[in-house]
Amino acid sequence: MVTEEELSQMSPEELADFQKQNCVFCQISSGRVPAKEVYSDEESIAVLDINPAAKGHILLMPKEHFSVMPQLPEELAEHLFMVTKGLSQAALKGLQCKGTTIFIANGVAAGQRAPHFMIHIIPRNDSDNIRMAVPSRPFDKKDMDAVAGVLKKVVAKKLAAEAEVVGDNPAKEQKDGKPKTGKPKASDKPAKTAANKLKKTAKKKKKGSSDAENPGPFDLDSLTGVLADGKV
Amino acid sequence: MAKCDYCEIAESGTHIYEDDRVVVALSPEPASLGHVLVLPKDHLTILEQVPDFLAGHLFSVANAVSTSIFETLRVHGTNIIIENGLAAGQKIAHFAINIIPRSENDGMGFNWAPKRLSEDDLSTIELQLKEQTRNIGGFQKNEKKPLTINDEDKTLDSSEGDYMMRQLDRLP
Repeated sequence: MVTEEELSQMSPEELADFQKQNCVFCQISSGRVPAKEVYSDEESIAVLDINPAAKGHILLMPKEHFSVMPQLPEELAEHLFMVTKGLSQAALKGLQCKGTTIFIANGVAAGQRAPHFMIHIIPRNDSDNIRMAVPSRPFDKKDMDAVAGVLKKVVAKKLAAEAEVVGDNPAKEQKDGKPKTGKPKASDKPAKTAANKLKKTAKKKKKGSSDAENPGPFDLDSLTGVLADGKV
Repeated sequence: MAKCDYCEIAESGTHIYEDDRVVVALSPEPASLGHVLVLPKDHLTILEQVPDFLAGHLFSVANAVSTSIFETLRVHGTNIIIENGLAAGQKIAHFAINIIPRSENDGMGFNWAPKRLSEDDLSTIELQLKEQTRNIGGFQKNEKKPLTINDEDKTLDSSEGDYMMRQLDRLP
Protein backbone atom coordinates (compact mmCIF):
# COMPACT_ATOMS: atom_id res chain seq x y z
CA MET A 1 0.00 0.00 0.00
CA VAL A 2 1.10 3.53 -0.68
CA THR A 3 0.65 6.11 2.03
CA GLU A 4 -0.77 9.52 1.40
CA GLU A 5 2.60 11.06 2.20
CA GLU A 6 4.40 8.96 -0.36
CA LEU A 7 1.76 9.87 -2.88
CA SER A 8 2.26 13.58 -2.30
CA GLN A 9 6.00 13.28 -2.79
CA MET A 10 5.78 11.57 -6.15
CA SER A 11 6.91 13.36 -9.27
CA PRO A 12 4.27 13.82 -11.97
CA GLU A 13 5.84 10.92 -13.88
CA GLU A 14 5.75 8.63 -10.88
CA LEU A 15 2.21 9.68 -10.12
CA ALA A 16 1.15 8.93 -13.67
CA ASP A 17 2.74 5.50 -13.40
CA PHE A 18 1.06 4.90 -10.08
CA GLN A 19 -2.32 5.87 -11.46
CA LYS A 20 -1.79 3.61 -14.43
CA GLN A 21 -0.92 0.62 -12.29
CA ASN A 22 -4.01 1.07 -10.21
CA CYS A 23 -6.41 1.84 -13.02
CA VAL A 24 -8.83 -0.97 -13.89
CA PHE A 25 -9.30 0.42 -17.35
CA CYS A 26 -5.57 0.40 -18.04
CA GLN A 27 -5.64 -3.24 -16.99
CA ILE A 28 -8.53 -3.87 -19.34
CA SER A 29 -6.80 -2.20 -22.24
CA SER A 30 -3.63 -4.20 -21.64
CA GLY A 31 -5.64 -7.41 -21.40
CA ARG A 32 -4.84 -8.11 -17.74
CA VAL A 33 -8.49 -7.82 -16.79
CA PRO A 34 -10.95 -9.58 -19.07
CA ALA A 35 -13.70 -7.59 -20.75
CA LYS A 36 -16.08 -7.91 -23.65
CA GLU A 37 -14.04 -6.13 -26.24
CA VAL A 38 -15.95 -4.91 -29.27
CA TYR A 39 -13.24 -2.89 -30.98
CA SER A 40 -9.60 -2.05 -30.63
CA ASP A 41 -6.82 -0.37 -32.57
CA GLU A 42 -3.35 0.90 -31.71
CA GLU A 43 -4.55 3.81 -29.64
CA SER A 44 -7.98 2.89 -28.40
CA ILE A 45 -10.15 0.09 -27.13
CA ALA A 46 -13.91 -0.27 -26.80
CA VAL A 47 -15.57 -2.65 -24.35
CA LEU A 48 -19.09 -3.34 -23.12
CA ASP A 49 -19.96 -1.53 -19.90
CA ILE A 50 -20.60 -4.03 -17.10
CA ASN A 51 -23.15 -1.63 -15.59
CA PRO A 52 -24.91 -0.69 -18.79
CA ALA A 53 -27.63 1.91 -19.17
CA ALA A 54 -28.87 -0.12 -22.12
CA LYS A 55 -28.06 -3.25 -24.07
CA GLY A 56 -24.88 -2.57 -25.97
CA HIS A 57 -23.62 0.32 -23.83
CA ILE A 58 -20.05 0.80 -25.07
CA LEU A 59 -17.08 2.42 -23.35
CA LEU A 60 -14.45 3.75 -25.71
CA MET A 61 -11.15 4.75 -24.16
CA PRO A 62 -7.60 5.57 -25.09
CA LYS A 63 -5.19 2.77 -24.23
CA GLU A 64 -2.87 5.32 -22.70
CA HIS A 65 -3.91 6.59 -19.29
CA PHE A 66 -5.53 10.02 -19.29
CA SER A 67 -7.79 11.05 -16.43
CA VAL A 68 -9.79 13.79 -18.11
CA MET A 69 -10.41 15.20 -21.54
CA PRO A 70 -8.19 18.32 -21.24
CA GLN A 71 -5.17 16.00 -21.07
CA LEU A 72 -5.85 14.35 -24.42
CA PRO A 73 -3.47 15.25 -27.23
CA GLU A 74 -5.42 16.79 -30.08
CA GLU A 75 -4.72 14.04 -32.56
CA LEU A 76 -5.87 11.35 -30.15
CA ALA A 77 -9.04 13.30 -29.38
CA GLU A 78 -9.80 13.46 -33.09
CA HIS A 79 -9.09 9.78 -33.54
CA LEU A 80 -11.30 8.80 -30.62
CA PHE A 81 -14.17 10.74 -32.02
CA MET A 82 -13.88 9.20 -35.46
CA VAL A 83 -14.00 5.81 -33.74
CA THR A 84 -17.01 7.02 -31.72
CA LYS A 85 -18.78 7.70 -34.98
CA GLY A 86 -17.97 4.18 -36.16
CA LEU A 87 -19.16 2.64 -32.91
CA SER A 88 -22.39 4.60 -32.95
CA GLN A 89 -22.96 3.38 -36.47
CA ALA A 90 -22.16 -0.19 -35.40
CA ALA A 91 -24.75 0.06 -32.61
CA LEU A 92 -27.40 1.43 -34.97
CA LYS A 93 -26.79 -1.34 -37.49
CA GLY A 94 -25.82 -4.26 -35.30
CA LEU A 95 -28.32 -3.76 -32.49
CA GLN A 96 -30.96 -1.99 -34.53
CA CYS A 97 -31.37 0.74 -31.97
CA LYS A 98 -32.98 4.01 -33.00
CA GLY A 99 -30.41 6.44 -31.76
CA THR A 100 -27.33 6.79 -29.58
CA THR A 101 -26.43 9.02 -26.69
CA ILE A 102 -22.77 9.95 -26.65
CA PHE A 103 -21.76 10.93 -23.15
CA ILE A 104 -18.58 12.06 -21.45
CA ALA A 105 -18.14 12.98 -17.80
CA ASN A 106 -15.15 15.13 -16.92
CA GLY A 107 -14.62 15.37 -13.19
CA VAL A 108 -16.39 13.84 -10.23
CA ALA A 109 -18.99 16.62 -10.20
CA ALA A 110 -19.97 15.59 -13.72
CA GLY A 111 -20.48 12.00 -12.63
CA GLN A 112 -17.11 10.60 -13.62
CA ARG A 113 -16.49 7.43 -11.64
CA ALA A 114 -13.28 6.00 -13.03
CA PRO A 115 -9.98 7.86 -13.28
CA HIS A 116 -9.58 6.96 -16.95
CA PHE A 117 -11.03 9.13 -19.70
CA MET A 118 -13.78 7.38 -21.65
CA ILE A 119 -16.59 8.02 -24.06
CA HIS A 120 -19.92 6.31 -23.42
CA ILE A 121 -21.91 5.24 -26.46
CA ILE A 122 -25.40 4.31 -25.28
CA PRO A 123 -27.85 2.70 -27.70
CA ARG A 124 -31.25 4.34 -27.45
CA ASN A 125 -34.79 3.34 -28.30
CA ASP A 126 -38.12 5.10 -28.04
CA SER A 127 -39.43 5.23 -24.48
CA ASP A 128 -36.47 3.32 -23.05
CA ASN A 129 -36.71 5.39 -19.87
CA ILE A 130 -33.05 6.32 -19.77
CA ARG A 131 -32.85 9.75 -18.22
CA MET A 132 -30.21 11.46 -20.25
CA ALA A 133 -32.26 14.41 -21.46
CA VAL A 134 -30.42 17.71 -21.30
CA PRO A 135 -32.47 19.97 -19.01
CA SER A 136 -32.85 23.69 -19.53
CA ARG A 137 -33.06 26.57 -17.10
CA PRO A 138 -33.60 30.26 -17.61
CA PHE A 139 -30.58 32.52 -17.12
CA ASP A 140 -30.13 36.24 -17.09
CA LYS A 141 -29.15 37.51 -20.51
CA LYS A 142 -26.52 39.75 -18.97
CA ASP A 143 -24.82 36.78 -17.33
CA MET A 144 -24.97 34.78 -20.56
CA ASP A 145 -23.41 37.64 -22.52
CA ALA A 146 -20.67 38.01 -19.95
CA VAL A 147 -19.88 34.30 -20.07
CA ALA A 148 -19.88 34.30 -23.86
CA GLY A 149 -17.51 37.27 -23.88
CA VAL A 150 -14.99 35.68 -21.54
CA LEU A 151 -15.14 32.30 -23.24
CA LYS A 152 -14.66 33.84 -26.65
CA LYS A 153 -11.31 35.30 -25.63
CA VAL A 154 -10.02 32.17 -23.94
CA VAL A 155 -11.12 29.82 -26.71
CA ALA A 156 -9.54 31.98 -29.38
CA LYS A 157 -6.25 32.00 -27.49
CA LYS A 158 -6.32 28.28 -26.90
CA LEU A 159 -7.13 27.29 -30.46
CA ALA A 160 -4.51 29.68 -31.82
CA ALA A 161 -1.93 28.10 -29.49
CA GLU A 162 -3.00 24.64 -30.59
CA ALA A 163 -2.57 25.55 -34.24
CA GLU A 164 0.99 26.65 -33.43
CA VAL A 165 1.75 23.40 -31.66
CA VAL A 166 0.50 21.40 -34.62
CA GLY A 167 2.42 23.63 -37.01
CA ASP A 168 5.92 23.23 -35.66
CA ASN A 169 6.46 20.52 -33.17
CA PRO A 170 9.34 18.25 -34.13
CA ALA A 171 8.84 16.14 -31.02
CA LYS A 172 5.35 15.28 -32.10
CA GLU A 173 6.42 14.31 -35.60
CA GLN A 174 9.08 12.10 -34.17
CA LYS A 175 6.56 10.37 -31.99
CA ASP A 176 4.31 9.71 -34.94
CA GLY A 177 7.11 8.55 -37.16
CA LYS A 178 8.45 5.93 -34.82
CA PRO A 179 6.60 2.68 -34.60
CA LYS A 180 5.91 1.69 -31.05
CA THR A 181 8.33 -1.11 -30.30
CA GLY A 182 10.48 -1.88 -27.24
CA LYS A 183 8.44 -2.14 -24.10
CA PRO A 184 10.41 0.18 -21.80
CA LYS A 185 10.09 2.99 -24.32
CA ALA A 186 6.41 2.51 -24.82
CA SER A 187 5.78 2.74 -21.12
CA ASP A 188 8.19 5.60 -20.77
CA LYS A 189 6.72 7.82 -23.42
CA PRO A 190 3.11 8.04 -22.36
CA ALA A 191 4.17 9.17 -18.92
CA LYS A 192 6.34 11.82 -20.47
CA THR A 193 3.73 13.07 -22.87
CA ALA A 194 1.19 13.17 -20.10
CA ALA A 195 3.64 15.08 -17.94
CA ASN A 196 4.41 17.47 -20.78
CA LYS A 197 0.77 18.03 -21.35
CA LEU A 198 0.37 18.79 -17.67
CA LYS A 199 3.27 21.22 -17.77
CA LYS A 200 1.79 22.84 -20.82
CA THR A 201 -1.50 23.23 -19.02
CA ALA A 202 0.35 24.64 -16.05
CA LYS A 203 2.01 27.20 -18.29
CA LYS A 204 -1.32 28.12 -19.78
CA LYS A 205 -2.67 28.38 -16.29
CA LYS A 206 -0.12 31.06 -15.45
CA LYS A 207 -0.91 32.92 -18.61
CA GLY A 208 -4.60 32.69 -17.82
CA SER A 209 -4.32 34.00 -14.30
CA SER A 210 -2.46 37.08 -15.44
CA ASP A 211 -5.47 37.92 -17.54
CA ALA A 212 -7.47 40.49 -15.60
CA GLU A 213 -10.77 39.21 -16.95
CA ASN A 214 -10.07 35.69 -15.98
CA PRO A 215 -11.91 34.85 -12.77
CA GLY A 216 -9.63 32.03 -11.74
CA PRO A 217 -7.08 29.51 -12.89
CA PHE A 218 -8.03 26.05 -13.97
CA ASP A 219 -7.12 23.57 -11.32
CA LEU A 220 -6.37 20.45 -13.29
CA ASP A 221 -4.33 19.08 -10.45
CA SER A 222 -7.24 19.09 -8.07
CA LEU A 223 -9.50 17.62 -10.70
CA THR A 224 -7.18 14.70 -11.40
CA GLY A 225 -6.14 14.51 -7.76
CA VAL A 226 -9.65 13.82 -6.63
CA LEU A 227 -9.90 11.13 -9.24
CA ALA A 228 -6.63 9.54 -8.24
CA ASP A 229 -7.75 9.23 -4.64
CA GLY A 230 -11.23 8.03 -5.43
CA LYS A 231 -11.78 4.34 -5.55
CA VAL A 232 -12.63 2.76 -8.83
CA MET B 1 -37.82 26.97 -46.70
CA ALA B 2 -37.72 27.55 -43.00
CA LYS B 3 -34.24 27.46 -41.54
CA CYS B 4 -33.41 25.05 -38.77
CA ASP B 5 -32.75 26.70 -35.40
CA TYR B 6 -29.12 25.68 -35.32
CA CYS B 7 -28.48 26.76 -38.91
CA GLU B 8 -29.79 30.14 -37.82
CA ILE B 9 -27.42 30.20 -34.84
CA ALA B 10 -24.56 29.15 -37.11
CA GLU B 11 -25.33 31.96 -39.51
CA SER B 12 -26.24 34.84 -37.30
CA GLY B 13 -25.91 34.17 -33.58
CA THR B 14 -23.25 35.49 -31.22
CA HIS B 15 -20.35 33.13 -31.68
CA ILE B 16 -17.80 32.09 -29.11
CA TYR B 17 -15.71 30.58 -31.86
CA GLU B 18 -16.03 30.23 -35.60
CA ASP B 19 -13.95 28.78 -38.41
CA ASP B 20 -14.87 27.76 -41.93
CA ARG B 21 -16.58 24.55 -40.78
CA VAL B 22 -17.57 24.92 -37.16
CA VAL B 23 -19.42 27.34 -34.92
CA VAL B 24 -19.47 27.46 -31.13
CA ALA B 25 -22.30 29.35 -29.44
CA LEU B 26 -24.15 29.44 -26.14
CA SER B 27 -27.10 27.07 -26.06
CA PRO B 28 -30.42 28.91 -26.40
CA GLU B 29 -31.76 26.48 -23.80
CA PRO B 30 -28.94 26.17 -21.31
CA ALA B 31 -28.76 23.50 -18.64
CA SER B 32 -26.24 25.62 -16.74
CA LEU B 33 -24.49 28.91 -17.18
CA GLY B 34 -21.93 28.47 -19.94
CA HIS B 35 -23.71 25.58 -21.66
CA VAL B 36 -22.24 25.64 -25.12
CA LEU B 37 -23.07 24.03 -28.46
CA VAL B 38 -20.44 22.99 -30.97
CA LEU B 39 -22.13 22.86 -34.37
CA PRO B 40 -21.05 22.03 -37.89
CA LYS B 41 -21.97 24.89 -40.21
CA ASP B 42 -23.39 22.45 -42.71
CA HIS B 43 -26.83 21.17 -41.92
CA LEU B 44 -25.99 17.61 -40.91
CA THR B 45 -28.53 15.79 -38.79
CA ILE B 46 -26.76 12.90 -37.10
CA LEU B 47 -23.20 11.86 -36.39
CA GLU B 48 -23.33 9.21 -39.08
CA GLN B 49 -23.66 11.99 -41.67
CA VAL B 50 -20.72 13.99 -40.39
CA PRO B 51 -17.57 13.27 -42.42
CA ASP B 52 -14.75 11.74 -40.34
CA PHE B 53 -12.40 14.69 -40.53
CA LEU B 54 -15.20 17.03 -39.49
CA ALA B 55 -16.22 14.76 -36.60
CA GLY B 56 -12.61 14.82 -35.41
CA HIS B 57 -12.41 18.57 -35.79
CA LEU B 58 -15.70 19.13 -33.96
CA PHE B 59 -14.44 17.05 -31.08
CA SER B 60 -11.09 18.77 -30.81
CA VAL B 61 -12.85 22.14 -30.80
CA ALA B 62 -15.19 20.76 -28.13
CA ASN B 63 -12.17 19.71 -26.11
CA ALA B 64 -10.61 23.17 -26.35
CA VAL B 65 -13.88 24.79 -25.34
CA SER B 66 -14.40 22.39 -22.46
CA THR B 67 -10.89 23.16 -21.21
CA SER B 68 -11.57 26.88 -21.55
CA ILE B 69 -14.71 26.44 -19.49
CA PHE B 70 -12.65 24.81 -16.73
CA GLU B 71 -10.20 27.66 -16.84
CA THR B 72 -12.64 30.53 -16.80
CA LEU B 73 -15.88 29.52 -15.15
CA ARG B 74 -14.51 27.80 -12.06
CA VAL B 75 -16.70 24.79 -12.56
CA HIS B 76 -15.94 21.37 -11.14
CA GLY B 77 -16.49 19.38 -14.28
CA THR B 78 -18.12 19.23 -17.68
CA ASN B 79 -20.42 16.83 -19.43
CA ILE B 80 -20.20 16.33 -23.15
CA ILE B 81 -23.49 15.05 -24.49
CA ILE B 82 -24.65 14.28 -27.98
CA GLU B 83 -28.26 13.37 -28.55
CA ASN B 84 -27.95 11.36 -31.72
CA GLY B 85 -31.40 10.65 -33.11
CA LEU B 86 -34.97 11.25 -31.94
CA ALA B 87 -34.88 8.25 -29.62
CA ALA B 88 -31.87 9.82 -27.89
CA GLY B 89 -33.85 12.97 -27.23
CA GLN B 90 -32.57 15.01 -30.16
CA LYS B 91 -34.93 17.92 -30.65
CA ILE B 92 -33.34 19.86 -33.46
CA ALA B 93 -32.36 18.09 -36.64
CA HIS B 94 -28.84 19.50 -36.66
CA PHE B 95 -25.91 17.64 -35.12
CA ALA B 96 -24.63 19.33 -31.97
CA ILE B 97 -22.14 18.62 -29.21
CA ASN B 98 -23.43 19.93 -25.87
CA ILE B 99 -20.81 21.04 -23.38
CA ILE B 100 -22.40 21.47 -19.99
CA PRO B 101 -20.45 23.01 -17.09
CA ARG B 102 -21.07 21.13 -13.88
CA SER B 103 -20.72 21.99 -10.21
CA GLU B 104 -21.06 19.91 -7.10
CA ASN B 105 -24.70 19.52 -6.08
CA ASP B 106 -26.06 21.34 -9.10
CA GLY B 107 -28.96 18.91 -9.08
CA MET B 108 -28.27 17.70 -12.57
CA GLY B 109 -27.74 14.00 -12.74
CA PHE B 110 -27.04 12.03 -15.84
CA ASN B 111 -27.32 8.76 -14.05
CA TRP B 112 -28.72 5.53 -15.17
CA ALA B 113 -29.94 2.51 -13.30
CA PRO B 114 -27.58 -0.25 -14.44
CA LYS B 115 -29.30 -2.99 -16.37
CA ARG B 116 -28.62 -6.55 -15.36
CA LEU B 117 -27.67 -8.57 -18.38
CA SER B 118 -26.85 -12.24 -18.45
CA GLU B 119 -23.48 -13.46 -19.64
CA ASP B 120 -25.26 -14.89 -22.69
CA ASP B 121 -26.85 -11.56 -23.50
CA LEU B 122 -23.51 -9.79 -23.22
CA SER B 123 -21.83 -12.32 -25.48
CA THR B 124 -24.56 -11.98 -28.10
CA ILE B 125 -24.24 -8.21 -28.03
CA GLU B 126 -20.48 -8.48 -28.24
CA LEU B 127 -20.75 -10.57 -31.39
CA GLN B 128 -23.41 -8.36 -32.95
CA LEU B 129 -21.23 -5.31 -32.43
CA LYS B 130 -17.99 -6.94 -33.48
CA GLU B 131 -19.59 -7.89 -36.77
CA GLN B 132 -20.07 -4.18 -37.44
CA THR B 133 -16.94 -2.70 -35.89
CA ARG B 134 -14.80 -4.60 -38.38
CA ASN B 135 -15.63 -1.81 -40.79
CA ILE B 136 -14.23 0.90 -38.55
CA GLY B 137 -11.00 2.37 -39.77
CA GLY B 138 -9.61 3.87 -42.94
CA PHE B 139 -10.82 7.22 -41.72
CA GLN B 140 -11.14 10.05 -44.13
CA LYS B 141 -8.76 12.30 -42.26
CA ASN B 142 -8.72 15.17 -44.68
CA GLU B 143 -11.29 16.92 -46.68
CA LYS B 144 -11.23 15.77 -50.28
CA LYS B 145 -9.58 18.52 -52.26
CA PRO B 146 -11.14 19.39 -55.59
CA LEU B 147 -9.16 17.80 -58.41
CA THR B 148 -6.64 20.03 -60.03
CA ILE B 149 -6.31 19.53 -63.73
CA ASN B 150 -3.04 20.57 -65.26
CA ASP B 151 -2.46 18.28 -68.19
CA GLU B 152 -4.43 20.10 -70.85
CA ASP B 153 -3.39 23.65 -70.59
CA LYS B 154 -0.54 25.17 -68.68
CA THR B 155 -2.57 28.13 -67.57
CA LEU B 156 -5.10 25.88 -65.89
CA ASP B 157 -3.14 25.35 -62.70
CA SER B 158 -4.05 28.79 -61.47
CA SER B 159 -6.83 29.15 -58.95
CA GLU B 160 -9.90 27.02 -59.03
CA GLY B 161 -12.15 30.05 -59.54
CA ASP B 162 -10.29 31.17 -62.64
CA TYR B 163 -10.51 27.70 -64.02
CA MET B 164 -14.24 27.61 -63.54
CA MET B 165 -14.59 30.97 -65.23
CA ARG B 166 -12.53 29.86 -68.19
CA GLN B 167 -14.65 26.75 -68.53
CA LEU B 168 -17.69 28.99 -68.71
CA ASP B 169 -16.04 31.13 -71.37
CA ARG B 170 -15.54 28.09 -73.51
CA LEU B 171 -19.24 27.40 -73.71
CA PRO B 172 -20.60 28.24 -77.13
